[in-house]
Amino acid sequence: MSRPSTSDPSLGSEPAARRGRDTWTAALTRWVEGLVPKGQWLPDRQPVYVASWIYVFGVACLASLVVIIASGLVLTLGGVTWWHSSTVGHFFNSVHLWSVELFFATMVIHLWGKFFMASWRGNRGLTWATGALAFFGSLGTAFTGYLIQTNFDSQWISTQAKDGLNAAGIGAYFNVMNLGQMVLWHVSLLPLVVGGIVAVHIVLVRRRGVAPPIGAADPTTSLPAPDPEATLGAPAPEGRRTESASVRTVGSSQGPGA
Amino acid sequence: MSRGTGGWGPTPDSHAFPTRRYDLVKEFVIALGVVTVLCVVAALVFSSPDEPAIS
Repeated sequence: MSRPSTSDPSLGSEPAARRGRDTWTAALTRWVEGLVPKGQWLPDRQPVYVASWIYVFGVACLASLVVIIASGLVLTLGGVTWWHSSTVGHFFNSVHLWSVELFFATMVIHLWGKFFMASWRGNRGLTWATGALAFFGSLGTAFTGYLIQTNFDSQWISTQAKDGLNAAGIGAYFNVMNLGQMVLWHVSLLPLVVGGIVAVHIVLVRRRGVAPPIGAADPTTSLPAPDPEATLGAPAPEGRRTESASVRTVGSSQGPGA
Repeated sequence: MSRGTGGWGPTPDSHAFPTRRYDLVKEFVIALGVVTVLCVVAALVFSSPDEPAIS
């Protein structure tokens, strides 16, 4: 196969500067590449202050979500009542339940940790808001899970919820006693909504970076210029500071992910 | 109180701070392993409630 040359007649008289830059595909590529700063999609370094176990609960929450989805997919294989009659089904229902428990436990710890760090500072309001939306979306998803157990628990919960939702004036828009509707909400609609919000949340975290501690001074104005001889490891993103040997010694001996 | 900063004062750019090694993928894989083990153990020990339907 030969590579197209610049004399390819199919390119016609198109100016070289415009070629391939004004297409929708090129625009989408530029948009995706510009979502986060260069080198920040999956960096192998973090600011020195990210050396506390509190930062683990976000990723633990994400890991719990993976287990929830995996165990939920197994449950879809046998149908909505499978777990009542199958030992294997009951086991995976239990894994699904406990992964949800861990998901909410780690999410709430993550939420409170970020609350007390005021992590919405530094133009991170949307990161905080998408996290809150993910929390409320997860509540709805979990609630529909309770509704599709096809046992006395779901009968009781759905009839009580029906009265509450009717009293709130929104009972006409969906029916929590409609098993088919709630199954589809639980396994399709709401997971897609929550998954989308979580994806946006993660992109925003990568875009803005982890919020510095409250009261932290700007290192570009409060620290002496870095000694080029002491710089170790991979270079920081363009225009950013690199670490010093002393920072590396302190940072690599504590906290998770080191 | 600094105006426009919610009273926290200006927040420096996180990318301006010195960095340390941090293996995000390793952290996620270990978290996934720990969470999976915890869920399986809890499922085996505590199971999940299943009261029969009344209709």
